[in-house]
Amino acid sequence: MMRLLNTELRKILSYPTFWVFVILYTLLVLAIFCSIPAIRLPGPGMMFNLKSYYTFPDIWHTLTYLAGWFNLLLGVLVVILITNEFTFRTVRQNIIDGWTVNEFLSAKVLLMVFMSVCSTAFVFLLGLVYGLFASASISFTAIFNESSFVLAYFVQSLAYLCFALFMGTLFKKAGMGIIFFLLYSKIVEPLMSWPLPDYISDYLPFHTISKLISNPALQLAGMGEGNSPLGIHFIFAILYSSIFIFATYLLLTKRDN
Amino acid sequence: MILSIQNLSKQYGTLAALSGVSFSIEKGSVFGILGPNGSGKTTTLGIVLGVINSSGGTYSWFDNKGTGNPRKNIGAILETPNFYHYLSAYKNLQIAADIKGVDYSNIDKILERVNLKDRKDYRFSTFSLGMKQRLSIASALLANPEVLVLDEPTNGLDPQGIAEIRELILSISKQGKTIILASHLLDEVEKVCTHVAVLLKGKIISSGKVSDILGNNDIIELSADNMEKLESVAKAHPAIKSVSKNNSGKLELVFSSPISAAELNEYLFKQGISVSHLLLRKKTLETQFLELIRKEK
Repeated sequence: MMRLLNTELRKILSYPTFWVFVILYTLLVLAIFCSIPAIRLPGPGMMFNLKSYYTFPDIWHTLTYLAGWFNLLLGVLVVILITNEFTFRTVRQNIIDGWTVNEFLSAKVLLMVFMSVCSTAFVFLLGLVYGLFASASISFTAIFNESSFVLAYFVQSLAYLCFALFMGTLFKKAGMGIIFFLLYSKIVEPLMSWPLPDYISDYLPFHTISKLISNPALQLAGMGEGNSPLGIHFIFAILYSSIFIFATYLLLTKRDN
Repeated sequence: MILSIQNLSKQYGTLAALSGVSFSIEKGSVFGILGPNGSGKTTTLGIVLGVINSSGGTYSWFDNKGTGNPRKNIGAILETPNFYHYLSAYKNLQIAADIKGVDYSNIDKILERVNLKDRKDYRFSTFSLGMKQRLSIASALLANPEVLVLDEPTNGLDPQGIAEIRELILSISKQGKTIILASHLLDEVEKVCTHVAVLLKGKIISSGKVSDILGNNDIIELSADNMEKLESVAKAHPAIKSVSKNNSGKLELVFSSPISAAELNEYLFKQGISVSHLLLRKKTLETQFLELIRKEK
């Protein structure tokens, strides 16, 4: 398993585009998260009390929700990485050289898990450091009370990447893959949810993946759903991830590479 | 047997890219798959290398003996050199070595063998077509495999490069390795192969030893003032195989055994014919094919 991941990392560590996306993701999450408390809305009545959002334990919710927006960047990166294999026909060469389709796919999934682990670790460290500076009471329970959001973030980001893997494999070309990845997640699914009742539309792939971590502003205002992110959407996100991986497997085995 | 193929077929929609292809390849042979573009050479190799799904038929490597993926004991290039464009030659070979499960100690030696050592840290995208082709041969040789599968290995190479690759193939074959070579160049197959299967429109139209199949492929083109007499005299030659008239009105002679232009000229002169035109040329693959098809019928 480590051998597969090592090979997969060797493919991308000298790839400039990979680093552009990694740096962009890191800087954007850092900048957006850290700059929101600095925003001062005009008028004393409009003053928004951000303090609780940025201290333990709610900081986990705030941070993972914000970082969730930027999963999009990691998704686009995965579309590029998988379509490269088709453009360069290296998927074909990898198999000729001795990998099975299974090993090829496992290597990619391992890479995606690795990417999600790294982005989750980054988010965790950012939350921990920021929280330690911002929170008045620092007790073990206060810090880790709602850290299940960090686990939810990991699953959310992995689910995004699994969808990206599927789209990249389906369309084979980076441009097409990225366009359809964005088109489906940002336009097709939101439009589909209009005529559909909530109990169905809530469980469409992107709805369920994004509802995994609800908007903390709604929640603190008492409009959100239950506080734990480890509910039904958590299970659905894992389910969809498995479906995307399986669909990718079918594409790779049924199609000529 | 190194590779046995039984009744392989491939359907692309209504088009039969391959139909009922069968052949076996013995250990130590240099097996040529000869055919024009689009005859099914790459499809055949793609199927046995596991990247194209067949519509029917079976194949087996090494008589299904041995454990693990047989492809790890095969070095292969299919159609184009396939590498990560943004990685250096060395890193690309590291990835191939990872997949094959061999260490990196061979990489420098192999790169030297294909004359790419100076360029090993350059990106693949900066390579010329010939260099890309040589890198893919290096990649195929990397794990010192039992079998080498080369699909049009001299495509895009200059004459010197072509000669080098052919020498390389012959020297590898001398080490007892088996080589499978797909080519549309009759000349190439004739120079390096021991056995050949001729593919046309997805069917094997002929297969066997190169000397039996491609045998004598000289054509002698003749003309004289008295064409009728020339024709009857030519037909009377003891070693004549066929006489035909080409578009420019000249006679084309094929002999069953090699004959030199001087010998023929002497023979004709003795029969009282002075030729005004005598040209010895190799049969083109096209003519060879036409002949094989005619034989079929």
